Amino acid sequence: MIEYKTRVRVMNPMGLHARPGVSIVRCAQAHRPTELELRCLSTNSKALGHSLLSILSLGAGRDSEIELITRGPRADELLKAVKHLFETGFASTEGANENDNEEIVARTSHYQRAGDR
Amino acid sequence: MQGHPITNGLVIGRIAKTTRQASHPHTPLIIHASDSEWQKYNEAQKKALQQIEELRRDAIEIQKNKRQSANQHAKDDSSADAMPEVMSSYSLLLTDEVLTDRIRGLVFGQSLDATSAVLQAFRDVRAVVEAMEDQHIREKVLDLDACEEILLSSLSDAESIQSHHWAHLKGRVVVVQHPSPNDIIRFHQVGVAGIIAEAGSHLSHAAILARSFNIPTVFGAAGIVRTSSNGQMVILDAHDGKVTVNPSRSEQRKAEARRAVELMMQQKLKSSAQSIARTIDGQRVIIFANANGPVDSRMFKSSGAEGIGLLRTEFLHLNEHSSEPSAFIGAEEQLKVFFQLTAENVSPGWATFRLLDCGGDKPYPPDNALGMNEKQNVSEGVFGLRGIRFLLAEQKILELQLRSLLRANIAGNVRILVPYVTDVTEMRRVKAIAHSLWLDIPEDERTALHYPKFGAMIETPAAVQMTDHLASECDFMSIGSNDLTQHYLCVERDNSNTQNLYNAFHPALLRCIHSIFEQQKFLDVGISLCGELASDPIATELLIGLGCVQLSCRTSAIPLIKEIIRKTDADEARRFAEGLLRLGDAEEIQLRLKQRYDELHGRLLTRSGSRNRAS
Repeated sequence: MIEYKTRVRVMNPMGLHARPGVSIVRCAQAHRPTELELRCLSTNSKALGHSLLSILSLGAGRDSEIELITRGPRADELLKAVKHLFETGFASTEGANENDNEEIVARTSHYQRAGDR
Repeated sequence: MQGHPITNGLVIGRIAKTTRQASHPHTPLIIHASDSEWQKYNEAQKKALQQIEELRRDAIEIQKNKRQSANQHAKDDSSADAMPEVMSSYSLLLTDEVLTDRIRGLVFGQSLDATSAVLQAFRDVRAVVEAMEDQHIREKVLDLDACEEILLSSLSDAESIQSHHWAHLKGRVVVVQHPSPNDIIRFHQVGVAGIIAEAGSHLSHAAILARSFNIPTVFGAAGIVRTSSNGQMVILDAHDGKVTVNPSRSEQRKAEARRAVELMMQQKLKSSAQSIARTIDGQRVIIFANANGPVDSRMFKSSGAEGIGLLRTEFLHLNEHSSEPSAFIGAEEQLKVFFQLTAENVSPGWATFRLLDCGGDKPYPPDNALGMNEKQNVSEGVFGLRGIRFLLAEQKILELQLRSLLRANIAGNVRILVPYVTDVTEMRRVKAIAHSLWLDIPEDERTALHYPKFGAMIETPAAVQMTDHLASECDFMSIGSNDLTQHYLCVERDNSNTQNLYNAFHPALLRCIHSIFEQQKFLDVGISLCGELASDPIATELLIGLGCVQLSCRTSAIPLIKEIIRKTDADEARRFAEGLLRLGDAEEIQLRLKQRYDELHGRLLTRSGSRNRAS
């Protein structure tokens, strides 16, 4: 079976938490039966790409290096897609989430202003 | 009042009596029950997913409405925004393969009911999460509690009447006539502080469960049901089986002081469990862990074990409950992944997989070609078609296990342990089958693999006598003290008439174990000891004295066993063991072991020591 491999770095500040995990699992599940495996090189642990729990338990923080391995009929396609996710910081709504509080503040003030008016 | 200690621990609390008596003192694992529990789980999962989907739709509605009337609900903005996404992460978690497999393993492998399996699986997940180094991820990890609650509430719809019945036991010391395994699970679920039972064997499934849940428990406290009443204070000392109803104030104060020291010691033991164990005079003792299912790398690391000395593969096989024999073919990939992940998670330590051990008091896999079922279990007794005998008669299962183990050995640390060997030809046959399967693996896959190590369980008198011959076919060996005791003393664990004769400290057993390690001196295979004896702190010094340098213990026992080894002098242990070998009376041996333990290590867990008595 042909295997594709590449290395990526976790760019988003919060590491591989639930949200990026969900994106990866979605992507892996859409490419079934192609398999995706993630290896975290710093913690030396492995995860199955279609299990959120297993990805979360990698405990991959910011800047961890991850090896992606895909196997199966559309292995190259899946590898590209997942790599893209990593490179774009998981289509980062993350930046916005980081500033959750600020956002609330901003909206509240907008609301207040609207009320003032 | 005196009973048999089942677990360790000291509890001071109030009594809650439960009148319920178990209908079957020993509930064997019945496959149909697991089937229905599994179905129950699947239905609950479906219901939970529907519920989540509804919540998600609601959340989207709210979002839409919000956009339309931007001024309203401003306060809920942030949470409503994230809601749909959070909900879909819930549904991903509930359908997660790793979680589902774990739950399936618990339902079929450990015959837990659906609710306990869910509780246990989530507890495992939490342990993984808590062990994470990266704080951000830890904090941002899914809301496990919410997922668990949704699942449990869908499950409990049908069972709410029952669980209501048990709620008043929470935090209490339960007094019960004769608890069944299910009772123990329920006690654990409602969170009882301790268990005191009139009847029950320390080897029963119920006792094993109490130990694995770590509930301080004493069985065999005769008369407790009659003499105690609800709400009475009680001191339950599960270290030496002592039960004190209505203690005096000074007794209570003393117990409280001991409890405080105990907690401190436990903390200390945990932190020293990580380093390797050597005796005072430098004898290295290797501590392995026993496992009943897939091993997680973080949980493994935190246990302090140096490898897996015994992984029972039974749980994997009881999953296959289809009547089609071909169900096993699909299972190979799955088994391989399980084995491989487990081996890699414990690497560079050994990962020792015991081939399917069924028959005797262990259930047969449901769809074996021989048509063996629970009835045969009963009629065949302990000496039936067990372990390797069954596997050689039903080679499809043997081949399936061997092939997936061979293909899983990428890390090079896989060891295959053959159960219930009585004859050296059995080892030869297993190895020959393994070798021909090895040659069938395609060349390109094989280059990445290592050939595994093979070992025999020494758990029959025949294997004890033939240790030297078996050794010539083995890379390692493992003494199974539980079965060895049954077979040496001609006592069945599940026969209540002979249960009281089961004693792993019987001099015959000590001589037997001694002779194995004497033979080992002339052999170049390592022999480890697994079974209850390995996890029993009062036996540790004796075992070292008998020449044992590899133990495979229950994970929860590892910190204490390691600490005892560090305080043991191997030379002195040898003299101590020689003294015991001269005794002819099991009770006396046990008494001496207890005295010795109290003298040397009493302060580790069981006694608060002179410091407290002085204060």
